[in-house]
Amino acid sequence: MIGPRTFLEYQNYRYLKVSLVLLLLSIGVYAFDSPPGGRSGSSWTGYGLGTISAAIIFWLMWVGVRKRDYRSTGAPLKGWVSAHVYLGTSLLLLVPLHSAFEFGMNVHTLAFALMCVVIFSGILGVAFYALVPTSMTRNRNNITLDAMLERIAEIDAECRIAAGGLPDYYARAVVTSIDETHIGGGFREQLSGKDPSCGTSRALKSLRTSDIDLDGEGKGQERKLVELIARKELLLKQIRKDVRFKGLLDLWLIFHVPFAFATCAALIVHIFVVFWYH
Amino acid sequence: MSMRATLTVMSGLPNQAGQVFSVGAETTTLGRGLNCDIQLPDQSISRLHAEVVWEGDALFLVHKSQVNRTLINGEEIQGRVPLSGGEEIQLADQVVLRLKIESAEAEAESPVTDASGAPAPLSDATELGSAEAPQALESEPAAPPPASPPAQRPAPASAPASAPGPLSVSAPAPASVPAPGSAPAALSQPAAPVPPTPAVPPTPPAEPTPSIARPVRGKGEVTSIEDLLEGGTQHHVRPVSEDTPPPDPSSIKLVVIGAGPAGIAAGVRAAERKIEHTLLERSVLADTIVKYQKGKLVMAEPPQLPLQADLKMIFEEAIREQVIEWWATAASEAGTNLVEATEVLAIEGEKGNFTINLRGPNGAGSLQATHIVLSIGVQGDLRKFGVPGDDQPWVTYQLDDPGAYEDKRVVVVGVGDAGIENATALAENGNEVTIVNRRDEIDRAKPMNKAAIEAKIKSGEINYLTNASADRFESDGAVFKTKDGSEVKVEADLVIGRLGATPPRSFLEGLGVEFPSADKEAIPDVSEKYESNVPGIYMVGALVGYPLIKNCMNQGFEVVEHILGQPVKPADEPVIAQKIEAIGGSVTEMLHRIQETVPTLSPLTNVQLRTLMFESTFRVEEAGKTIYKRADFDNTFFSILEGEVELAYLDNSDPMVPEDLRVERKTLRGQGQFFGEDGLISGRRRGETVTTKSRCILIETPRNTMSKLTRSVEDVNRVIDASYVTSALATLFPTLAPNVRKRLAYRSETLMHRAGEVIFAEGDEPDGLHLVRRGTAEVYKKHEGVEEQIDSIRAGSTLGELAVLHPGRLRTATARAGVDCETVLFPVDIILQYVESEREIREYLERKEQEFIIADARRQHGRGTMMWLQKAGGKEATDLLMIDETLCVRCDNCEKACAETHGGVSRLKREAGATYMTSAGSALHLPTACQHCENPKCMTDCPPDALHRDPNGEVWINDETCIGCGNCEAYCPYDVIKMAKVDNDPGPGLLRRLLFPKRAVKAGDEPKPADGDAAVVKKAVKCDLCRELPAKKSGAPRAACVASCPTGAIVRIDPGEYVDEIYERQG
Repeated sequence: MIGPRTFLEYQNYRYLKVSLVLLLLSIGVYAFDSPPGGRSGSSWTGYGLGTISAAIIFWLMWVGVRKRDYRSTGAPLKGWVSAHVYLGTSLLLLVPLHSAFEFGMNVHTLAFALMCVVIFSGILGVAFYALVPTSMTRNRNNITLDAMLERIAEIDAECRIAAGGLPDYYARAVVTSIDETHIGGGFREQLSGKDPSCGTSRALKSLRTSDIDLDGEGKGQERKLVELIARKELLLKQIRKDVRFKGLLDLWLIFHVPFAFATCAALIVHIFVVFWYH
Repeated sequence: MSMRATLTVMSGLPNQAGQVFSVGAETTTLGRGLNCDIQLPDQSISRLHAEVVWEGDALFLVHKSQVNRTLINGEEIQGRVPLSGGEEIQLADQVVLRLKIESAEAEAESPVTDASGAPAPLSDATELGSAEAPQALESEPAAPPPASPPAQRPAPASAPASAPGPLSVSAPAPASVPAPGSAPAALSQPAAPVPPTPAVPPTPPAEPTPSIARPVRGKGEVTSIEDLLEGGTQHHVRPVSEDTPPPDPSSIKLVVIGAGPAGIAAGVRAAERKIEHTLLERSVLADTIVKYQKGKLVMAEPPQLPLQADLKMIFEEAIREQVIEWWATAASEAGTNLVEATEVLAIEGEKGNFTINLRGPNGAGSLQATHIVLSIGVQGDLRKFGVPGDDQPWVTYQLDDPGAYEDKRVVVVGVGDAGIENATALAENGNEVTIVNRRDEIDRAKPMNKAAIEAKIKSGEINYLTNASADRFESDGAVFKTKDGSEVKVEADLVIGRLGATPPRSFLEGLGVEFPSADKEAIPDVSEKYESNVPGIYMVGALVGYPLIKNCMNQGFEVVEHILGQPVKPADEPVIAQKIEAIGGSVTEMLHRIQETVPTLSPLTNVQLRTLMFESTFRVEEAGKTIYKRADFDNTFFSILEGEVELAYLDNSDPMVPEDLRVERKTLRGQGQFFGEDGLISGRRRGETVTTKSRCILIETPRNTMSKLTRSVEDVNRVIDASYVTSALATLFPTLAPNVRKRLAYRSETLMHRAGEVIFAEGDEPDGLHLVRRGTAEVYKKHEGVEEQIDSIRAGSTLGELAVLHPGRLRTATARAGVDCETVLFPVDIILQYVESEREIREYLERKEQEFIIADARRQHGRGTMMWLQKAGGKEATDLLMIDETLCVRCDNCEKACAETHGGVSRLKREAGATYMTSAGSALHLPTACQHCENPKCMTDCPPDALHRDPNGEVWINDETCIGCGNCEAYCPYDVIKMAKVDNDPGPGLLRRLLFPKRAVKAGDEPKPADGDAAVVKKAVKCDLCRELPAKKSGAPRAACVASCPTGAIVRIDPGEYVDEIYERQG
């Protein structure tokens, strides 16, 4: 690949290596540990791994702060994200090691479950980050969103002029196309990338099925109008696709961030419960 | 033949202005081609453009070019036209030659070179002989023994006698002047005596050059490269005010023309001094400022410059209305005799008895004057239609407020920026607008304006009339004549002619005022008392190069004092005095010391030199101090007033040798010489490290100041140019004998190429070896019939080596100027001669050939990426912001980071810009952000000099000194500079931002201030590489956008290095 290297490769996979070493060490300690009363979260090994995991979780939360600290003079954000991804994923094993694979219907396992949602949404995010940007660039085809919207505004203006000399039927179609076309909408509409009730599609359909007899000049105008509306429809498809991609890139965050806060809350409860009731 | 003819270069060729060519042969060819008898190196001229042919005593001009036109006295000609003498011959659009025909008897007296032969005898042998003549010729058989002792050198050149020439490589400074004829050992000796024989041709007889017409060398003019390098410059005659006894104030009748800041100050002072005076103004008092938008802040730059204490006229930073009021009050309180709305038609007479013909609101008249002060600025006169009916009140040339018109039929004539801006504003205000173009293309407007008007024309909002010019105005509209001769009438309530302006130069030249060069930026010369070369006519303000208000006001005051014969100290005196405090002595002493010691600066007028002193820094450095390092990006220019420095540069003769293994070579420069000129010319990183060898006094001059001087003072330009060529040759051929280098430099010529222009084409006969001096050249080669770019050559490297290595071979590739570009051409004959005799040159060319073959093969990979990068604007970038869109998750954190570190305004637009999908699967995207160009166009004309360039290459705007004039915004070809309100408040802390996030604002999108809100001054903003953030450990700037990208999609790259990386990763 030409160009910058991805955050996953940061410093030659430094944080993948760090995470693997951490995991191997933890597994080693766990394997050789035989505390009195059997392995559990309440053994010294359990406490140790728990403390490390909790520290990692709070540190992972700090990325939200670092991301907004634009004057930071420390490591670049992509380094943070790299570490975030690898250390975060390693929690999937670290935490069960901490609890000695004990699960139950309690606040402790709730914290773990919430954490898993966070981690899997994160993995989904990494996957989307890897796949969507390229499709997005291809779809944009060197045109900015603003330029597309501007072009649509121009087409609308041209349509009004073109419909000027034609029967009202055409003017109504143009008005439908202009007034009843919407981009965006709710999250579901955005993600679908389609609008079944799009005014422009309806206008195009009505123009194509028109049976009004026109003279030579009128026919030319009609053809021009159909061409304009068809072009607008293409642009709309392109824009909706773009909006869909943008939605996909944000989708995982809807789960990731709130669940991260929930995990933190559950974690604090978990720690409190462990030390208060034991 | 009993008649003879000469052609004098009048304009269009700044480096050859005033040159006289003889038209001796039966047929004399004119053109850009090297084989033309009169070679005119201007790209608009055809290789063979025209011929001048004698038939007996009759002379004819034959137009030859297929593409470009030839005009005689403004009339386009075809075929063959008889000439009678006195005609102005214009070739293509700008080069004008004047023809003179005289009887042959006059020949003996005229120092003219025959186009078909060697230079004719020079008129002033002693002068020339005592200046530095070509030492390179001493080894030539034609050079007779030198006779004139060095002591006869003209004064300005005496200083470098104790210093080595700038060409000396690894040569210790000789302690004394060598004996005559001691070359070649003394080749680097500037003061080596010279052959006095004036008839020595500048080139040895062996060289096959006789067909090239050589410029005439008149009295005191330079004859050789040595001459140029060592200070033998010709000083054009400076206007000098004679020390006459002070005139009786009651006899003075002063007329000041132009009531701008300088004119008003002169008027106020004249009234105070109770001398009879008139202040004439064609429009209204302070016309330029009146035209500013309401509430605009007028800046008082430079802050350190005081106003003359006795000037009873207030000025400090304030809003437009306040400034106008201050000045109007000053004029009325002093009792200034102001006459507005009066135009000067002509000035006749001489000092003490001028007659000024006027036209005012009440008709024409005239005025007597003993002294005239011109303070007319540089804007010039607006061009008028000059057709019947153009005196009707609705035919105007200006639009002050487009909002004042609604529902009107308006015709705007002219599609320059002004015309387009007027037309669009009027159309948006609901007027029916027609815009008229004299031609069929809109090619003189800024791209943004062009796009705007084209959109409006397309949508039918504005009517468009092409190939039409105004023929007459009738009572209800304008009649235009189109190219095909038909008439079109457009009914109109208002016609605005936006036909451009005539610069004041022709008016001044009509008065007899001389300009130092033909360059359109040249400013006329004045004495230290502001008197021009025409006695009694004084010039002040922007007209003589002072665009800042405070300068203008001070000069207005001072010129009146000078006319009265009163002693007056310039207002900048204390500032300069402070600068030279560490050196000691008065300002005047320093001025004279510089004039005597530094030959490069001695051609400057006193006023110019004072400006240079005002803008420069005087540095006193002990021995062993490093002044700058190789690869630094600063580009100040240094003159050595005292002491000696050592320049250490790398031997770049073999590009295959990695940079860290290259040998360092050293050279010395001493008192009176200069260094840092390559930064000035090419704008590239420093090529050498400079260390002081002894205690030094250095004058460090900003690049801007120096470039303004080189544009207006031809001699300074030539000296610096010549030095650049020889230093460049020294890095390419470090062991080449200095005399060979000098010969090469002497035979070289500088060619300018506009962006996109062909420098040479595949299959052409080679014209020689090009050295890129400024800008970038691109090399293209045809692959299977399709032309593809294979290389780009930056300043300091050569171009076109292959064809000169093998005699008889044609060009194997096409070279084009990537951006506006300058190359130094070493003609093919001299190169071929040295390829034979000089091993170093041959080896260099052979290495280049090898490199070319290897590179060409490697470039099969990654070629597409490189071509795109070049096309998308990476041509002159030194620091390019690039996003790999396959990694970019469109979070816009880069823009947010930029906005947060720059007062809430992002200087980067992530989405805008070109994207390229590489064959390797990346999507490279160049967002709109400053690329820190090699030759930053934004720095071209910044009145307060607020644009700076740091040693690491970053170009930044000092918002403290920026006056918000918008020049840089207009100059930037990449549209990355915006005018925005500058807010240096770092904003709320991190915690507050986390809890109460705010949306980032893009430059240009911020809320508009209310009309007349003077507190908000928009200043120029652009990427400054986050100079406020601490640099990284490596010294690289820490850009917030890059540091804040979560996926690492955005990087800052040096395009040159990046291209190499592409090859490595792909190839």
